[in-house]
Amino acid sequence: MGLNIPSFFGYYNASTGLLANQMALDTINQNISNVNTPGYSEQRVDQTAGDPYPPASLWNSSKGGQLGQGVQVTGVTRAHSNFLDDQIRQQSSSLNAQQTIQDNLQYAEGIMAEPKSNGAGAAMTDFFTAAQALSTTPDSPATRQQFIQSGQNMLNVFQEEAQQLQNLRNNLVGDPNNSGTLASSQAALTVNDINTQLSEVTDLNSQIESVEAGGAKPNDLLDKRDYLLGQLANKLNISVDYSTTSDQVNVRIGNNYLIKGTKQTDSLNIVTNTGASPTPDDTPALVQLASTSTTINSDITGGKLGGILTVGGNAAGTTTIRSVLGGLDTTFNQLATQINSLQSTGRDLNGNIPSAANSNIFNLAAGTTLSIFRYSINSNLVSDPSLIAAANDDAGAFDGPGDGRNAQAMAALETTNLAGLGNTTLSSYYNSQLSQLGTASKSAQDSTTNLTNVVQQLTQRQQSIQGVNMDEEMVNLLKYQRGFEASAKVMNTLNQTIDTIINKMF
Amino acid sequence: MGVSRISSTYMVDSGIANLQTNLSLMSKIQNLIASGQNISTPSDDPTGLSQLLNVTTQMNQDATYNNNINSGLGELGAAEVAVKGIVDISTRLRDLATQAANAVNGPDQLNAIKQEVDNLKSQLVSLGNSTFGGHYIFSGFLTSTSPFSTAGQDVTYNGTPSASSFQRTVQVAQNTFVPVNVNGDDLLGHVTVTAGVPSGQGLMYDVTKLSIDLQNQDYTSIRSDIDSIKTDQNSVLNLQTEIGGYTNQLQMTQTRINDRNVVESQQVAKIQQVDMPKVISDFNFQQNIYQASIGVMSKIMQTSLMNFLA
Repeated sequence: MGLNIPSFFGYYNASTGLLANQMALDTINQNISNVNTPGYSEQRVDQTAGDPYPPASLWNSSKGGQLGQGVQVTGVTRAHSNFLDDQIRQQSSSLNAQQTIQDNLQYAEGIMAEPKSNGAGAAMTDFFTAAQALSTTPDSPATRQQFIQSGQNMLNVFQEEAQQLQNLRNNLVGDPNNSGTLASSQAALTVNDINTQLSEVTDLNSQIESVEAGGAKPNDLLDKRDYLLGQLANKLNISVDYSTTSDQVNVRIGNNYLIKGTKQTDSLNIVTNTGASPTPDDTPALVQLASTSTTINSDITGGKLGGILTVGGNAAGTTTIRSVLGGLDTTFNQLATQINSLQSTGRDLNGNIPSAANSNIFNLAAGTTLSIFRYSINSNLVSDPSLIAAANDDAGAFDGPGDGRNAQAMAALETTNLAGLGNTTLSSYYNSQLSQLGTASKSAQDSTTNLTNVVQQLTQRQQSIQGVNMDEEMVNLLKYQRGFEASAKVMNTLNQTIDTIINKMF
Repeated sequence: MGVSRISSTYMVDSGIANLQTNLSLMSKIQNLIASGQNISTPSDDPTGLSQLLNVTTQMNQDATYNNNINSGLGELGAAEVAVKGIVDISTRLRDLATQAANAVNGPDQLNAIKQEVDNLKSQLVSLGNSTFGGHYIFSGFLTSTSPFSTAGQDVTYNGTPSASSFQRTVQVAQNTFVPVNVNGDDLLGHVTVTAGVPSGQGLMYDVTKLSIDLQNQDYTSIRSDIDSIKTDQNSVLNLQTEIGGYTNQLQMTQTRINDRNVVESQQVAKIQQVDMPKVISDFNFQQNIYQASIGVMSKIMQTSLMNFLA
């Protein structure tokens, strides 16, 4: 006989088997419990065979070989890929930005109410039809009344749509003329969310550090933090730098650090723009770093916040709420300016050239807001439609109440190419604005669909690594149950052999 | 994409995502069927929208031009009726003058003829004051002023003089304006009688002169009146032709607009109208897919290894 083995050696070996199987069962328990927990990564017990006995040494050449000392649990690890996390974060940032843009452009489409019979385009057509009627029967009080009423109606429709667009924009990024509106805007609420989540991530980083200091693997905390980072990426296009030596992460927006490991180095502020460049009209809200008050709007290109700043901004060449509003404003402003200039140079039903008070059909009040909000119908003409200058001033003379040539000129504006609209007609300018909105909205919808698919595929990959599969857990459950039972059986057998030695040998 | 390992959450999540995709396709088709329109919002089809808007803009303009044409045709119709009456009266005047020029007529007959001539003159005035839709059609731009007023034997023209611009027009195409009136002064003229001597022009002058000549039994002068009235009648006939020309122009434009309207309506229908048989068969197809996906999902959700482990 070569090796001396202590009598109770086998008890220890069997007990490691019981313990390891027990631990594996507990891990399966945890996996099954968290099968539906978002962000949860499947956990596995890492096992190795125990160090053999006796240990290798110069003096003790193992006669007859070494004996195993059971199983060792080296740790519980999670199945996870930081690389996929990174990719998913990037794509979801873009997805959320596009989705925000898509949602808001769709609202804008709803507001414009085209191609239906109650939008601004229809109101404009009605107005010109009334102008034509006025030109054929300028001496009829009814057509004059109809003309001024349809003017009023057209203005109402334009202003109502413009106001709704303005409200939509204010709701996104606040009204620069009324800084009180910023706090309840979506941009400010999103910034608040971002700041809360930044501090949560920092907290988790600290907890992770302390657990790791104790030598354990903080799997569930890591899951929770990675999930939070994903949530954060939905709102902001953050970059995450992984430490190579620990499980700590740094979080950046552009080149500005927000979190360095266990320290939150910065947070975001949002303020109403009162500066000159960019103008408050173009960029109503500025997002700044709390530490230095540096504006970082240009760094924020993704996430919900990026979408809000884009669609609520006014970047050249981009279809935004403001550009749609601008299209409405330009259309009406051109129309009103031309109509007013005809009104001021014609002659009314009584042959008078309109006095200063009557020389406009649409009065424009002074102010700095968009002109569409400052127009009103001239009430003098509403109360006395005979003041509408339907007749020409024919070389200083009035030809008669049947002269509708000035009204004819007003009606002809519908088909006139206007320099102020890039030499297009009012309707084709307005139509092209609608078409632009439609194209931008469609492309945002398409991007959203595409990005949704990309994110879905990436999530599928991520899930194939970290997701819990019930069937798999069931199989493992059985496997470890049997293992546990077998270890117990071994223990039992050992016990019987000892029993034999102690009780039955004498 | 092949995935080596499927997690339970993924099965549920992707199942739900696919159901949502199917549902949203179905709701899109449902919208199409319910509204019958391909384009409900600009983003449904931006290119189609821009075509649609251009066509409907054109159609709306055409509808307006059509209104103008109808109102112009109405006015020209009224003018035609009046001018035809004037032509008839001038024919009758010529007959009467020819009859009176015969020297066998005594003062009584001439007086009777003069009575009729005077009647016809007042009929001419009332025809000259014809209205359409509440305004006078022969007074140029002064549509609320009656163009002819009488005082004794005088007939004054009060409308826009023919020397200045008097023509009211309606717009029938982007840069096309068609006149809808002729000048009253050109049509009937005017006359002033000073100490029994008429001065003026046109039919009014000649009918007044005829009346005075009848009273004076001036047979020579009556004979010359026959020719003058004939000349007047010719210029009225010219104006009648002019009115007919305007009417023709309006009617032809109207035909063109109506023809265009047919084409445009077809275009709108092509862009905007939903192809029902196709959409409904799409719907049935989509419904099958949806039902199948629900069925598959319910089967998968119920299957678990647990059912088979004792």
